[in-house]
Amino acid sequence: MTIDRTTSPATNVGWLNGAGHRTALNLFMLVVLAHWAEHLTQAFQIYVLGRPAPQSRGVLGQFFPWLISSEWLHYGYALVMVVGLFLLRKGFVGRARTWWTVAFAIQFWHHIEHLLLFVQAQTGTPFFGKAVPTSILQLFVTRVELHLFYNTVVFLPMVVAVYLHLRPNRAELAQAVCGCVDKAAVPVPA
Amino acid sequence: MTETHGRGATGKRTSASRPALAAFVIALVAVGAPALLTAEPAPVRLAAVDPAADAVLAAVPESVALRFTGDLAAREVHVTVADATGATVSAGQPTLSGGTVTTALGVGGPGAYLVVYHLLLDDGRSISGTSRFAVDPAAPPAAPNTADAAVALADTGHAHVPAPDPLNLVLTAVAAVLILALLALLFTRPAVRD
Repeated sequence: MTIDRTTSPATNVGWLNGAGHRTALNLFMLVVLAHWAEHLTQAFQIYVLGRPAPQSRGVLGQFFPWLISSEWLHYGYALVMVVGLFLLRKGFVGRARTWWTVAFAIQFWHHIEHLLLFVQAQTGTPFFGKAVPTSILQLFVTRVELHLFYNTVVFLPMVVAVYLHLRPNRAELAQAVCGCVDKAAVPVPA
Repeated sequence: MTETHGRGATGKRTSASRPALAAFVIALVAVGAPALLTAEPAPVRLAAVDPAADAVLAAVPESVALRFTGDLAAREVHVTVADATGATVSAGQPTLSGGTVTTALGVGGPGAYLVVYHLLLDDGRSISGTSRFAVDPAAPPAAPNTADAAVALADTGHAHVPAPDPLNLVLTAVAAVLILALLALLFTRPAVRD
């Protein structure tokens, strides 16, 4: 992981990390926010409405209860996250790239954990001598807390990265390869 | 989501992403509100078993009945009754009528019997459990399952509302703050920090 504030902007980043970076980033953030809305709804149902945990299924789970216990859903979201973090990484520069990479690294491990759960669920073979599919860190922490922890520690560097990306210093703006910040509106020193 | 960037006549940068974000948040609230406000259906619980749990009967009954409370809508119902040797005594498919599941029994001799049930509910949840009874020809004729027995069974069920765990609450609070920060970032115009 390096921070390079001196090199000139890369030019071959493609549409996704160039002209389309802001659109793609907004879409990705909407997916992330929707996922968080599910978790916060679930927390509200448990702690404020006092519902039993099995009946606190968030928004989608209210209408499609089978989704909550579907490893496809959990693995699918973990996969979308790791792919999104990877694909959009080149559009970040300077400090924002560092924080985004931190989020990507943590999410990569989170994805591995979900992959382990997914394989166990699909093959019907729980690992580690457990009765149900179990991930590695789940051997030490219960799943709800672990999942919430992972999501938070991935989300934190993401938000910092987006902040620094949309509030760059002039050196970072000079390196920017995307249109997230309108260079024409800000005089950039040569 | 479409997005346009440009400079209007006033020289200010315009973006279609903010109205799109606002629409998304409104849609999220509109979809999420029913999940928060809709009354949850009464949970399904076993209220009574006939023969009652651990009852000793003079002969094998004609059927086993399981009565459930709550909004019972099941897409799959499985009930198996086996004797002490593991041989299945239940015969045919169980029937569901109202809140009661009934399964017919065949011929059986003295000894212990195990009732195993599993219901897959329409909302994706499942409920399962076991009950036992025994047959002893010397036993007096058993009375049908009583209301007292039903109450005793119903009382064994209780809601598992997890205690507010400090770690969960802290993580949720941190996430809520981060969400607000991200929304503020996405709704405000990008800027350069000197």
